[in-house]
Amino acid sequence: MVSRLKRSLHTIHDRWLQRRIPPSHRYQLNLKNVFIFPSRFGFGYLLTCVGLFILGTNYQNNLMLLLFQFLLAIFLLHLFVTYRNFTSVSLAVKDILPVYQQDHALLSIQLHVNNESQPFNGGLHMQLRGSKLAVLNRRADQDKEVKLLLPARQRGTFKLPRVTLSSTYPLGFFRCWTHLDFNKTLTIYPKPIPSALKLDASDANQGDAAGNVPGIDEFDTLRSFKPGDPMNRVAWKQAAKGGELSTKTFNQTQQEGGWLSLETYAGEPLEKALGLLSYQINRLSSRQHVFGLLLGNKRIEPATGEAHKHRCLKYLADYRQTINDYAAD
Amino acid sequence: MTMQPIDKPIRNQTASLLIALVFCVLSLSLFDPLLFWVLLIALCATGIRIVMFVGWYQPMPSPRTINLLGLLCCVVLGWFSLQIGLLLTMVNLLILAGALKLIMLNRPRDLFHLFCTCLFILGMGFTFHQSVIMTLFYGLLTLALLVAIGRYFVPSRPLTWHFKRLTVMSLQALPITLLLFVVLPKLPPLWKMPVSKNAETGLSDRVTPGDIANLTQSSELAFRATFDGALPPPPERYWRAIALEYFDGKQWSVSPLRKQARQQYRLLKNEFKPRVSGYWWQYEVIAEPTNKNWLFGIDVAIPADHTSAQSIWQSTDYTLLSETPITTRRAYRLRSYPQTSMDQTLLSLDNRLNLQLPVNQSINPQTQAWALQLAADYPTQIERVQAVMDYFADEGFRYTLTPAPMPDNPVDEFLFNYKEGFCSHYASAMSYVMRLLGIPARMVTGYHGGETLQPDVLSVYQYDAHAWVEVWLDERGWTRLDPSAVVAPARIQLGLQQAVEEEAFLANNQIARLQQLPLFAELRTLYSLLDYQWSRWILGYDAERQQNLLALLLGKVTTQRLMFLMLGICLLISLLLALYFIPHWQRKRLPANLRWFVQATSKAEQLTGLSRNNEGPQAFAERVADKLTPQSASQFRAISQAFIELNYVPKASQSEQNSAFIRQCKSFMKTARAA
Repeated sequence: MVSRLKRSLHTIHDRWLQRRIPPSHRYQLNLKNVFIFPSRFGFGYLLTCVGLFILGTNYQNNLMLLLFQFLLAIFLLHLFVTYRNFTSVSLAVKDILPVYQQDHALLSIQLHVNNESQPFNGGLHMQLRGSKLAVLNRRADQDKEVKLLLPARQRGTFKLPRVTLSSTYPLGFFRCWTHLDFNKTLTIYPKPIPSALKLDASDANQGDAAGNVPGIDEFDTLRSFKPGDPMNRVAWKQAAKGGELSTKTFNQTQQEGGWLSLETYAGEPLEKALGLLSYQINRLSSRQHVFGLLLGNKRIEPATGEAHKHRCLKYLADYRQTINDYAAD
Repeated sequence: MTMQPIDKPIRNQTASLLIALVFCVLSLSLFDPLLFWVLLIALCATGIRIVMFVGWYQPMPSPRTINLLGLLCCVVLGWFSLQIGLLLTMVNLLILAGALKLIMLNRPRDLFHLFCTCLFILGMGFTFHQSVIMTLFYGLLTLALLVAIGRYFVPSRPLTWHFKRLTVMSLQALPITLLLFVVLPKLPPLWKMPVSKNAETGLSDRVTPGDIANLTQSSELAFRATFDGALPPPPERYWRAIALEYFDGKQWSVSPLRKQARQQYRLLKNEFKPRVSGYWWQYEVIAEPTNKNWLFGIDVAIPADHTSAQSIWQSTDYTLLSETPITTRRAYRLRSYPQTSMDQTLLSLDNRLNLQLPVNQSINPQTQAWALQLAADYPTQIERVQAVMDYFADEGFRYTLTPAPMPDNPVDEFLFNYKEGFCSHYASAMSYVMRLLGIPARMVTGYHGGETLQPDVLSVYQYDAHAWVEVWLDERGWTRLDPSAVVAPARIQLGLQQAVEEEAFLANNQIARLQQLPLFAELRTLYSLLDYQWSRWILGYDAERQQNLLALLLGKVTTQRLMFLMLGICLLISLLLALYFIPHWQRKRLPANLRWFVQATSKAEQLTGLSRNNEGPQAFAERVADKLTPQSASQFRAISQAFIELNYVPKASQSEQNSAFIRQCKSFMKTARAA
């Protein structure tokens, strides 16, 4: 009952936030998107002030009352100092690079100070809204950046939830915070599971059962080095012996187009099969091998290169997945 | 994973060291009210913190050790609390709690707790120290506390930066503080608080001739009085404090019967209200703390306003008593009617008390014999009084602050042997003889004289302490007699300092000796003045004063006007905040040459109808050239050229060029014409 009430309150709050602070890649903090309220310590401070007031009144001691009023004035001033400091920055988020499952994605918020004469001071606390994942960078004013590692538990593409940023500069009496939706997604690729390469010789439509692909790692000949050859193909042993730089060539029979296919691992559980494919995509890409991917009814034409690799991996990540909110725990 | 824990231990942080030092200084400033072992624990805790900060020793004592220590301390403090009273126990407890917290300081939460504790201790400190200097000192400590917290939240900045920032902020907070101080209503005490059993200073309610000599060695302030109008003439400045009516042969004290009577009157709420007559002086007394109840006033004094009347009880011996002991500076207003005759009290009680003789009749036999002789020689009261006064005047009595000790039969020794002493010797001897002669007599102690601080302000110091005699004359009631005046008229006319000049006045007081230097004397006067204004306006700002001030501001204090005043104050505070935080006046001004160039350009734009936008200065000058008169065009070209040179060609004599450029711009602004 309580938890249901909590959840519905949370959704109402979310909807309200959606209207109040619409998603954006970059935020200038201002009256519209900043909240401020005394912190726990602030309330403790006020309680001390009340204690001093009672003491001063009961002893009819004007100096105690003066101290009380001074502390109150300081408190009041800090309301504005905290707000002004927090709104002196605009915030942007760097693209979150895709990561493999069970790794950590890096969320990095960049601080930009708008006006040099009014610098941002103090630390910044960052938390993913609705989770316990949080970090406090006490030197955010120097680093101009707050970083948070997001554990990648599940494959898929996730929407980054709202990020709660808060500052208690300068004396911690007030907490100034905002919930920002940077409108970013986070892609988590399946975790690569090492295995032997299984590449269909030809298009799955024509081909039969997949066989071992011979020779992909098989050394063929050495030829002299041409600029543009990948460094990992350079025959360093020969070069070290004082010879010319030469490049190892491998058996290129598969260059014309091998296919990776989910069907190959029909017997395996889906997640493991995707993991195996993930490994092979990596392996083939690092060899600059041309390959295509067959994933159910999805089909990626054979190609090579980094972009192709990420495209394939993203397909793996999204296979039979919808876009969800990222949940850290 | 490099995630920092949010609650990071703070033992190595400067914040922890700073707060430890502040705590240490705070404890030392409370040296008097603190028990020695409590102070020792506070110092040890600071030591531990320093060692931890430097890194010689890292491990924390376990919470269990500290809890045990805390328990032990509480038990011991509980034991001591019986002796030192509730208030001091409270202060000691606060310091103890702070010290133990300081040892355990590890998480930010501990730091915040310690911060709040320190603020509270600081507030308690004002119970014991109220001078300007101590207030400034405590102000600095408050600042240091804020800096410690600031340093915790912004570790990337050096301490000096924090000090600067918070000093500015404190200065900004001061006007708001003062506004609040002036207008926030002064409430009466919400409940009764424990008062300290501090060492009592000043006069004592028991006088053995010789005591007041100790006071005359003290140059501490006793009280200040501010008169509405002229000061009373010096011989009239008898400040009554205590009437001593019980004599045991050696010592005078407040009569137990009188105390009983007073208590009964209080129970019946039957306060003595003397009928006053004649001219009067009205004045305000700001009394220094004595931890006693009596107040000072010139005879016959009655409270001058409602607030004072509430806090003062008038006793039937014409003394004034405060409802609570004076533990802090206290201001009250009195009106004195010197012509009022003091014959309005219950004669039977007065007679009974003031004819009392020592139970032990073997003390002072010579005096008793002398009194018998006098009684036989002089039949009337007046004659008898006169005879005794004449005896003091004629028999070679000497006024001195260092008389010989007279332990046995003190009155005999004084009257017939040594014939030297000071006010309390004379007063004691005379009162005793009067009683022996059947005239009700008592010893009154208080102060006499005072130093003029301002034309209407008297400062009365402890060395002005004095004792005199009051006798009951049937036709006049209580009459003041001062045998000291007969012996040393200068004492009454000019003050003690002059009366005993040949003796080393304040001989044991090095500081007092310094005061004889002219420069020091001047500084002292200056400080006294400052202290006086401080007592009057800050310490003495009470409900009565607030009422007066509000009446002055509002004309008539009505609810509506008060509401407007409160609104006005809120508005004023908002204005102050706007002044501090609205950034427009903080914006950096453009350099002068750029400002003038922009003006000249806009003049050219205005004349030609062309707009420059982001065009380069020279290109723009060319473009507008044919729309201006040839003279203006060449002038404008020159300006553009000079501006470029000023800003993009590094030169040595910038300032000269700058002013030349500005002159150029000015002349262009005046003479430019469109073609």
